Amino acid sequence: MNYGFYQSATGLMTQVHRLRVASNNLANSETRGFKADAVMTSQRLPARLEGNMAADPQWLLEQLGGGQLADPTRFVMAQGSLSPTDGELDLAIDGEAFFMVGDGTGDASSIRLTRDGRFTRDPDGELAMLGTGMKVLDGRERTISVPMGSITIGPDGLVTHAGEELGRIGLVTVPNTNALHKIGDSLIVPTPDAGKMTVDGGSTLWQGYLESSTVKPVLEMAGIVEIGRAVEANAKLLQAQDLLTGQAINTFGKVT
Amino acid sequence: MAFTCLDASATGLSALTTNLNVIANNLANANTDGFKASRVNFQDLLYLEQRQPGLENILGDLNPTGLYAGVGTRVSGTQLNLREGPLVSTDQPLDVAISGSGFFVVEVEDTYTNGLAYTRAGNFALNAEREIVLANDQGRRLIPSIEVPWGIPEYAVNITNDGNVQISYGEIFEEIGQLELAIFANPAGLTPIGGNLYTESIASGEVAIGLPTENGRGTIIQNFLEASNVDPVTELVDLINTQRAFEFNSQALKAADEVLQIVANLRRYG
Repeated sequence: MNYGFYQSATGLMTQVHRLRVASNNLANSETRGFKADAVMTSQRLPARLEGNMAADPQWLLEQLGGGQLADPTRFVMAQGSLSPTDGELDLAIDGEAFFMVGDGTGDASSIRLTRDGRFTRDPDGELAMLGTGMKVLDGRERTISVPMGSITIGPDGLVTHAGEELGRIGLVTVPNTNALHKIGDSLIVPTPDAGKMTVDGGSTLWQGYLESSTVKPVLEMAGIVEIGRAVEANAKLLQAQDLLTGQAINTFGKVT
Repeated sequence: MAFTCLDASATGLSALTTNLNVIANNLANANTDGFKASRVNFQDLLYLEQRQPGLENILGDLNPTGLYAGVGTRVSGTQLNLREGPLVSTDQPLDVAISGSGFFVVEVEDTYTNGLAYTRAGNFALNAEREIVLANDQGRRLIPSIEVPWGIPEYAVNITNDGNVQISYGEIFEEIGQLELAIFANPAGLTPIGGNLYTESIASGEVAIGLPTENGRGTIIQNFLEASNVDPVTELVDLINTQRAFEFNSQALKAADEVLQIVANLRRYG
């Protein structure tokens, strides 16, 4: 079968994937603490290498590669701008760290990371995420109780109420942020490949601020324009190959 | 359909419409006494896993994370901004403002928790029974109920900073009641029911009603009203942002549509 046909098809599919990610980024341009996803693409290996098949290599075709492949989606750990909100329990991180949230039972597998600092007091009187209700943890994975009244949170995460120290919000980093995995609701799963979480001293907390989404609409729009053209080009090539195949059939396959 | 970009942009458009609604409501209430602005909280939706074949190649390299693409955004909720509004002098003896985090308690229908609602709008008046009620069309009675005796004019009512209601009219001087205020673990989780009123919800936690001086409920200030805490500048900036984000999303939607069209026309006829 026409090899190039599938080359163009992989190009088309990869572009559609890029568009999907760009649409999601733009849809989340107002989501606090959102980190934009980036699509990297690479040349796909020929099927023989990919499938580890022992078939006779066709050197001519193999040099062409196997089309295009989207690499695992990564998100860009850029710093979002901090905007003031007046909210006492609105926190923004300036730095590389994440908040640690969990169900408060000490179960390590329930721990998630987030950059979304919209916190509230949950009905148990503990500091929790507004959207998911997951409890905010300190560096030792314990919950933090916050009484009614005014709460002060220092740049180092120290939570105080009327001069009394209530706990310190845990800010953690992982060695390999590329292995972090988003699961929606502003939550990020620290996969085993991300490495051990360590308390981060280099980040500062801002009380009364929230981190804006890092989506850059200009870049996304430019990307969408590029995607549109790439789709067109790939589609044109598909059609050209279809045309060629058709002509070949009609020319050489003529009866009488 | 596997083509999720259309839906992702659509979720963006609908969430931004909600944001627009909330901003419009905030701006409409820029002059409502005791009004608290709301804000919309956005959250990203689930991510679609697509494990394309070939992530493990001949070298045995396994990529730890799969290929994923998000499916858009959603509004996770609206949240009250409880910043205190500016206090405005009105010279009305039954206008009271709270400097602190407390709420006035008024009586509402039993369908609401405890039959009580809470408000920051302290524009009170007297009803036909000479009870202190909220000065709006529903005339909600203040709890605990305070009656001003017949023949005593409103200007003779004096409310102290700790919420003691007294009358001093000629020879008469007596205490006729004590204002109590409500506080909540999470006041931002209160449910607005209109008419400047809020009711308890699961998110707000249980109400704690008590004397104004206790637990930072607040200081009572007579002859003042708390103005709306809507900041028009912030709202307008948000409005511009929302409108632009809306445009970007509609452009992404259009691009997805065009790509679909190209794909649909791939097949050659004849």
